Amino acid sequence: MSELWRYLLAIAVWPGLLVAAPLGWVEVWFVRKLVARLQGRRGPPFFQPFFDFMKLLGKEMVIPVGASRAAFLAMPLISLASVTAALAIVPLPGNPIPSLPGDVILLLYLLEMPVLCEVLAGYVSGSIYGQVAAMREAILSLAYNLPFLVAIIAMAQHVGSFQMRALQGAAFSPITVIAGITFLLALPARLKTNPFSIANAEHEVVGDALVEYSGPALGFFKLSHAIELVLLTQLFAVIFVPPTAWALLTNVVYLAIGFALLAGITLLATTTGRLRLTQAFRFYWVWGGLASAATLAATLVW
Amino acid sequence: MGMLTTVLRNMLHPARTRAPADMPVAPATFRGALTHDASLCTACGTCAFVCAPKAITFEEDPGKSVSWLFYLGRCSFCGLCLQNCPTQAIGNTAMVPATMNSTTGDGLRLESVIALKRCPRCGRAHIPFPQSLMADSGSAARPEESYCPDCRQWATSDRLRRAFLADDGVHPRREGAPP
Ligand code: SF4
Ligand code: SF4
Repeated sequence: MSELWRYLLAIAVWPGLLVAAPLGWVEVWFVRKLVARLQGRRGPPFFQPFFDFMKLLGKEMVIPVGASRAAFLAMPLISLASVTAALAIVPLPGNPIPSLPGDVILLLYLLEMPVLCEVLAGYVSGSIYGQVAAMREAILSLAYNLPFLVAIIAMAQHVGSFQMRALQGAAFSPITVIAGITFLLALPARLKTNPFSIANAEHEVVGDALVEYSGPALGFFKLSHAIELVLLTQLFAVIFVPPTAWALLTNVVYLAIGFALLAGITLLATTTGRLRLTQAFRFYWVWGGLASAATLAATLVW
Repeated sequence: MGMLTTVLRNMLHPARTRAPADMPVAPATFRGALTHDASLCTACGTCAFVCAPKAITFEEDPGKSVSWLFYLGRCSFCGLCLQNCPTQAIGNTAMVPATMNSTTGDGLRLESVIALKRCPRCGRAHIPFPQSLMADSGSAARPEESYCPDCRQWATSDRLRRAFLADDGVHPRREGAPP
């Protein structure tokens, strides 16, 4: 198989779009269903996220007056393309792409893209609510990215390589635990769930940075969020959980860990209320900062 | 901690929300969506006239039929239309009738088609007078039963005229009467 085909296969099929999109919908359904059950409601049927996406594809798309059409429409596509590309370079068992030197850096860059796209989308739309939400998202990303990036970089430092496969093969050590906790600290804010649902506070700023988005453009943004769920949970599993000897079993373990993470985050989200931006910011710079310092210190000790 | 016990208790109990098929029993006097009996309706328009939110409209297919159209999305369930309908063609249901739940429409509209009939005397297409009311009006089992309103009027006055004036062939038909 030629190089090009490997990349196409990874981006389009496994672990890319064709598998990640349905998996993302299942995870979105899982979260919504769990939230509903925890709140004593029934929750959506299994296919609801898929129905939502198909419905949005068929809806009219309104582009706000004064918004740059090209920028407005490019955001969801760039966001979707980056999460898919990011997922394609995560060394899940069976991924046809060979590991590249320095792909951790590429991954970190691609991980930031959807956040950046959403912030830009908020500003491009020209809506005051979208702009407030975008501003909140940008500030929050300055806060949670400290522990988030430190957790991954510490693991890279620990194995002495910026290659995903090296990180995946790292022997289990106390650093794995400490860095894993630091990563988990950042995850709720990265997924914008309670108590860090500040950028998508529907009671305060109508919706999120995407208030002006509708139709297929919104659908693609939602799809990219769904794939982001898969990406972030699988990323945690790949970096912090040692793989088993069997590829299939490893994938099953990774998936189970992904769902367990989502369950934990959902439980946290349903039992907490939304923090204010300053509180969240302080939380991440104090506790996230301490966790980051502990993680970096651990890499020096072990 | 309190929240945690609350959500975990929620998890263990069945959902408090109801599914569409699991609705509470409506009381007998509940005013839900309307039903309409096309065989009783004379398309007099009273219901549309009394309906404040304009939930009832008519559509005519000239010479063939008149449609009585009800849009549930506008109805305020005040019941004025069924109170005012002179022929009791409008009824009430406790829920959305099956026809409104059809997959073809949006599930909120009810169309009831009143077919026009030709008057056997003048040939004009008209809305037939409801059979049940025909018995009350005393014109049942008479030839004018299926006449159009104009011819029915003519038939009645013609019968009156014959009762007072002998049919001697001298008195021609009244001027202006329908042919
Ligand atoms: S439903 Fe009743 S009130 Fe309405 S047009 Fe028919 S006869 Fe008249
Ligand atoms: S119930 Fe009231 S609102 Fe509804 S159609 Fe009849 S008159 Fe109109």
